[in-house]
Amino acid sequence: MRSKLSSVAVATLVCGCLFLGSRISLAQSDPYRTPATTATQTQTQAQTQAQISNQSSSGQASSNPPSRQMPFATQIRPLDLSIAQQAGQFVVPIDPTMSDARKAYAKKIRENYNFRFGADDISTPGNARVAGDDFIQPGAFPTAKYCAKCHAEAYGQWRQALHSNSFRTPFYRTSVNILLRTKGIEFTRHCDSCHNPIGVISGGLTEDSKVDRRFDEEGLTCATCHSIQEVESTVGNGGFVMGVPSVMVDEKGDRIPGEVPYSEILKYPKRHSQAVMKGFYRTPQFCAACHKANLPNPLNEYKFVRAFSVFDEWQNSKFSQQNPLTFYTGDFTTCQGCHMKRADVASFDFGAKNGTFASHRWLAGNTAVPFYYGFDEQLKKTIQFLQSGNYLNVDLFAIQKMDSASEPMIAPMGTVPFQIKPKDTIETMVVIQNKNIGHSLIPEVRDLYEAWVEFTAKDASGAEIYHSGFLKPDLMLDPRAHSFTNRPVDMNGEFVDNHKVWTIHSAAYDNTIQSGRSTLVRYEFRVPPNAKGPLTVTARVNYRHLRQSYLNNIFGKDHPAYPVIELASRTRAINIGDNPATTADPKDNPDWMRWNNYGISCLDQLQYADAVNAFSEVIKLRPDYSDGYVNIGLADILWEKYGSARMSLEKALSLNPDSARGLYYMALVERREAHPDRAIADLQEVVAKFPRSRDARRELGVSYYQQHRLEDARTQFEALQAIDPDDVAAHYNLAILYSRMGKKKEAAQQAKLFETKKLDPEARGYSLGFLTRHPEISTESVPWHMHSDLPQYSEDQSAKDSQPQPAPPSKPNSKQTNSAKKANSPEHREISADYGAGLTRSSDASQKQ
Amino acid sequence: MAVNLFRTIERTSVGILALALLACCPSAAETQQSCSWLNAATAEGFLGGPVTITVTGDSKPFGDATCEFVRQQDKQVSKLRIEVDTVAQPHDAFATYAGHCGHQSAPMTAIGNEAVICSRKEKHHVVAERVVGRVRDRIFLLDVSSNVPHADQANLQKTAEQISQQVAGILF
Repeated sequence: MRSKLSSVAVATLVCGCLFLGSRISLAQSDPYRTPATTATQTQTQAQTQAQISNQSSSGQASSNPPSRQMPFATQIRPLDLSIAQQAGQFVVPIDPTMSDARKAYAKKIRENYNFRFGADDISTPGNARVAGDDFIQPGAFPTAKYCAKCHAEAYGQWRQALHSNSFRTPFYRTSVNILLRTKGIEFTRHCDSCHNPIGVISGGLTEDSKVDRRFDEEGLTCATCHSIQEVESTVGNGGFVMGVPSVMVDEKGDRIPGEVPYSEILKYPKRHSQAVMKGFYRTPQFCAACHKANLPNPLNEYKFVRAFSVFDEWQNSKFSQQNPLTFYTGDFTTCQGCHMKRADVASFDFGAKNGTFASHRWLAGNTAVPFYYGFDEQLKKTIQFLQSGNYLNVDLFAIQKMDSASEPMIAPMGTVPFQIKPKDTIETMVVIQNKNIGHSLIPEVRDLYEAWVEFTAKDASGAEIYHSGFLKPDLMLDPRAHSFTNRPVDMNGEFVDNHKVWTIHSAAYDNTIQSGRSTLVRYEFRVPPNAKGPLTVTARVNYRHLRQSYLNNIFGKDHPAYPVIELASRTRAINIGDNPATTADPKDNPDWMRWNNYGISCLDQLQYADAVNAFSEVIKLRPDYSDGYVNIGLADILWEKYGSARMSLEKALSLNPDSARGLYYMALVERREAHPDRAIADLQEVVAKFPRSRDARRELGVSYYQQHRLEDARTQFEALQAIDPDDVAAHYNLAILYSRMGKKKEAAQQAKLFETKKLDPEARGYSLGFLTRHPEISTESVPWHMHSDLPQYSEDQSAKDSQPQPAPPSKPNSKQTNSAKKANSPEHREISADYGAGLTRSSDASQKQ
Repeated sequence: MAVNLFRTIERTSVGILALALLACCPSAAETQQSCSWLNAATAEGFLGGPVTITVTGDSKPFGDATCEFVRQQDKQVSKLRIEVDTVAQPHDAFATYAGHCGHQSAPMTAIGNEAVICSRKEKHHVVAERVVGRVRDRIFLLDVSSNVPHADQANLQKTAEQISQQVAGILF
């Protein structure tokens, strides 16, 4: 039956190949389309099994470990007592994979372990694996305090960091406890593969567990990360293979399990380093094992749903130097390069080099954990981190007086003089650039974290003229704020509150700024008749970890206010009367880049004419800037003006013949103009320069396929799959190609993966249900929309009235509308619908910032 | 003789009846073997060896219940008692429960919504720690005590803090 179904699926795919080839050709020529990134359990298990086999055969114990008789009992955490008694108290088993003691332990755990997801399957729906592929005693993991003896700096930082608190925090427990109580503890192996891997591989996540859970307190302890032997970086969900913990290798290089006397480590420091450090620990792929996640069918009993993929965001950013399509270029920077910066040591640490140590604070955005635990130093450093690095740029880019349609846009502000009168209605255009974050703003779980734009316009007395993005007295965010959040919904179209990710069926709204891109936010207000100038206009990006309603879910409403951090802001004074040109702020981008960012944001709002105009301003200011021409070409391609696009791209390539980005877009034009050989030649050159470019591999594969070069096409799609095992285009086309090559088994496998990972056609229905009931989010989901409280937007009054929590009287209402003529045109409604269906954006292009 | 025999039968019948009633009609006081707040293996880890467990109260998982773990080695006894109650007025109830700790209680950081800890001196060289904590509308009362000769108050306090963290964690 299964075989028959697979055959049908393949046949269906083959029949549809011409259509898909065409569709992909169009879809993938769209640079906004982020390749779908998914994975399946089947593949994960197969790959991991292979790795485990390798590990098992190569990781045999030394017959002569230096630590066998060491009298170090007081330093070692006891094993589960019954096992400890069998093994000899406080002595960790010697064999790295399956010692007798481990076998006995595993046998005991197996007696009542819930193997819901398959015999011998200990971690599904997560992907965590351990050498030997069987349960391991939690006591096999040296404690953090054991490591602290020589690594006090690392220990002190780690204790306050997210990794050590990955399991115990209420912010996590509240969500995972719901899963535990509603579906069963065995489902929590999905979350705990990353949040508490010892809990998973020790067999603790089963009903009536017999596992001593004192290790919960340490979350991701030293020995979890430092025991990982291999990673399935592009899979996530804990896609790692952990070795039996070891802090020492013997003279042959074989791992010696468990703790050893410090004297041994001091005697053989290189052998210690060999055991606890791997080269790949310094790579983004290592982080990806957990900072990439999906919701697999065994968890949600629905289908594969992408959760988040910071790794893919990084790989598509300028910092990876692997994507030719980024709008700007930058130095190669890994996750560790930002989140584990070396800093002067405050405590003794054998790992320090020249008085510095790679930070084990992993500073990022989480202010909630240090706030809750009272880790003041971590909180202070986190805030410093968020406000450093020139990560975001906020630009009060332009204003437009709305009283007359003939009024030109005044841009860039500060450079172009203008006049303002009382009673003028002003549209202020704020461009926010994700300038130096190696991933999206905000990354990962946007249903929990909250970043938003707060915009204020005040008169000279400080009286508010307009305010959007305020916090209400109950600390809930203005529902009409422009926020970088999302709204996952369940099959009833209800917002998935409390992070019950296993119920997610669709994303009704998902707003972010991908790395290197910009977004345009529009605010409209009227200058009061008696206003005293100068007016002060401020736009700031705020961040709160976590969303207030989620904090309320965790603690009830009686918790203290959690920190709101200003990430970046820009203020400008506007005179009533003349406004001459002003001096630029040192943090301001140069004018050509301001225009460029505005153009990029227009692309994302589907305003192609405005984008072309903006990029034209760029090349006026920088006629030698080839990417300015590429950007015009890109806008024209999106506008389906291929002839115009060709002219711009030819100009770009005349300025910079080696521009991989120019060649890529030229290839799309060539293909459209029925010059497949030229398209292939261009794409081959791009792939030669950027072998890990997903887009180039995909397009080259499509072009080869169209030319019936099946082997060449297969090579490209297999290469694409090696970069991203979840690329649906790769699955689809490989299913067809394998089928045509007579590889029925492989074709069926790819067809099955495609079926699993493709977008659910019903998803839009779930989203629409939510958007119908939430007009404030519906408005935000339209690419072009205005934030305003002016009365002419009366059609939005009903929407305002329907808000569950109206703004307090002390604050002006902040409301948004898409009533602008552009956005209400049929064209825009249609485009908006496409956007809502999940049209996402990949990063683009090329000027070092 | 006959009277004694009758009384014996009567007593036996009553006993059987009582046992039958207990077996047929599980009550709120039914003894269980599984504690929702802390498993026995973890309690063993904290108390240093095998324990006996008694659970009373709501038999539903995560219902209000009290768990008692006892480790006994000859005359040395370590005990851990965890009581969880759902309350209507969490703030008032917490204040009342915390009152059991007396004026020497100390606030704890990062245990539930709020928590206090206090040391108790009991008879016969028993050292004891009590924690009163709250997670939303649930109050937990944790008592840990030991008469083991080398048991000291500081270690016991650390143990109480760690167990409190476990209990609060599952209550979230």
